[in-house]
Amino acid sequence: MTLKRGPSCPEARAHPGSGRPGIVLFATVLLVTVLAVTLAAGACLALRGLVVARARSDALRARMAAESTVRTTVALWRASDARALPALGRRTLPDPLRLPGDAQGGASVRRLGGDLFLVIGSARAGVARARAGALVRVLSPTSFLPSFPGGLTADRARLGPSAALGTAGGYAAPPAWPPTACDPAARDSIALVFGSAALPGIVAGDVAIATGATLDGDPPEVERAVPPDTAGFGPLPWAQLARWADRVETGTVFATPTAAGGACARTAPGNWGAPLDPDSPCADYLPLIFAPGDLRVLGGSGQGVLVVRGRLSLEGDARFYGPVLVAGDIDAAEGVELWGAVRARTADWRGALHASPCVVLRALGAAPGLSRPLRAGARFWVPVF
Amino acid sequence: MALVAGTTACAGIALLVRADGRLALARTRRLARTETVRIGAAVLRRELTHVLPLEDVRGAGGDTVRLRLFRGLAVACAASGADGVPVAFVGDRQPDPSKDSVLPLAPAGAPALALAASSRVPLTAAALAALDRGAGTPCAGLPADSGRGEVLVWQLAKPVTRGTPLLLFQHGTYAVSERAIRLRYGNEGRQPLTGEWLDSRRSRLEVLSLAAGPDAARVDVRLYFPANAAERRLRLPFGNARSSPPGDSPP
Repeated sequence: MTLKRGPSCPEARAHPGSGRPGIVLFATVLLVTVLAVTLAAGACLALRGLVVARARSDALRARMAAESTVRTTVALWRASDARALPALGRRTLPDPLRLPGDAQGGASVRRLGGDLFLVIGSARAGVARARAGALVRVLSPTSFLPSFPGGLTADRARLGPSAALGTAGGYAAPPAWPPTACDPAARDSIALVFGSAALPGIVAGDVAIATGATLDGDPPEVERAVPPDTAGFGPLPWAQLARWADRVETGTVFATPTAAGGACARTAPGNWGAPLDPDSPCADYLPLIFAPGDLRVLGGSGQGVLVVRGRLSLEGDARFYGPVLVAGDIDAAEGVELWGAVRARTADWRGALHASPCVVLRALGAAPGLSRPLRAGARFWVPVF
Repeated sequence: MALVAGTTACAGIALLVRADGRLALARTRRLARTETVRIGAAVLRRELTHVLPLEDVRGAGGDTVRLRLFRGLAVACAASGADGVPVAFVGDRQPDPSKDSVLPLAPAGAPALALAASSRVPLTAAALAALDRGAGTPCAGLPADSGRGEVLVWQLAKPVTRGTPLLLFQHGTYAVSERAIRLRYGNEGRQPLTGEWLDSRRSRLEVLSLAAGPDAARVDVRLYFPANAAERRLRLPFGNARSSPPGDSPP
């Protein structure tokens, strides 16, 4: 019998070598599966890393944005708005702040006790939200009042024959000012500092009054030694005043309110505000003016807080509304008119002086240089949740 | 031929699986490292934002720093009375008299006070308004600052005046130990904040330049990951050490 070699079954005959393609196909499928799993695992891990990174980025942006809203609120601080808040009262910024990095924030200011304020900023960036809080305080106008116990305070004061010094109407607004310009609590502030709301005309160690000069007050004259203010103004030393002053003046000045384009040109030479024109854009501008040396005011009108480290000479028809502190001597000519209070080492006064706590308190409260927010102690950032 | 092809395919697959495993391990380690750094930075930065170095850092070693941990802010709605002081409180947890203290922020330099008791009072709007013993907005408006606040009555060792801001804090110690960043509240045990990926001996957590002045002080964190043989450094400033924002303080 002869055996013939050949396919053992019809299927094998029809598909010679079909066992090998099966293995290759299986291996290929397995390879593709492993590759797919590898890619999926890598993508999953990468996605997780991306989510973590994005969350971290959002959280960081939100926190930075919240801190930025606090800083912006402090930078745009208006002391008059803050002081108008009642105790524990709150003011919210009217518009949301749009911040870099597609973040959006808002802020509020709450008055805590006295001159202490809590600024709270909140922000949103992506999926994250954050809040930040800071404590700030403002200088109280009453902290500067002890420098002005009378209308004119000096170690030696001389009133010339044309001098007129009065305290009548000191708690009312000057004729050129709107009646609402005065702080209704001015009497309380004066009484808090001096123990009484009475207004002495002159407080000086040595007073000489020429015939023809007029003087009134409650009492007109208090004779006591007045040590000169040599360290600075109230709680502020000279160096601080030089940094904070809204205007630094030297030499000779003619005070002229200047407006441009409907706005007060605060940097214009000699622009010390507009005390005589309530409709002027400069009517509410009462700058802190600092002269590091001697100063001559040749005339014109201005308002604010005038601090002179050297000698001050008021000449011509100069008019000034606000407290004037002079470390050296002051000399006021016959046509000069001043509303507020004066403090100097020696005073030679021949003009008109209207002692006015209303004017003094308004100028101290409105001067931007004295209204900036400060750290409340060493701590600025406080936790808010 | 089939055997060769199959063997080659299997070897390739085995290599691929092994490479995949190594890649996954590397990615996992990298993710763990990133997470550890992220958590460490976020937690510590958040804690240090409100810290005043010379007052709030209560101790430091090469791998630990003991701090006041601030957990809430309250404002006294009225002056202290016989029943305590009503406060509007916002915090990330409820006050706990057994471990919390209170730091009044006014007047400046006031010492911290023990918190003897803290209770929730179901005050009506009328009762809240009655707490407002002077002119102004009543206490009721205060918690609305966050939408999460509430009015509590606290018993403090000393009276405080209306409007006084009060910081609620407890003491805690951050440390790099036992292969993780850990936090220990008071005398409790150290709890891990991160996975145990660190080499504790080569990692550091220290306060630098405290003696050079509050503005120079910072916390320096070095995290060493043995699995990656990588080191990450974090330099975290104290938020309240930054020099004088927003302006100079007058003397």
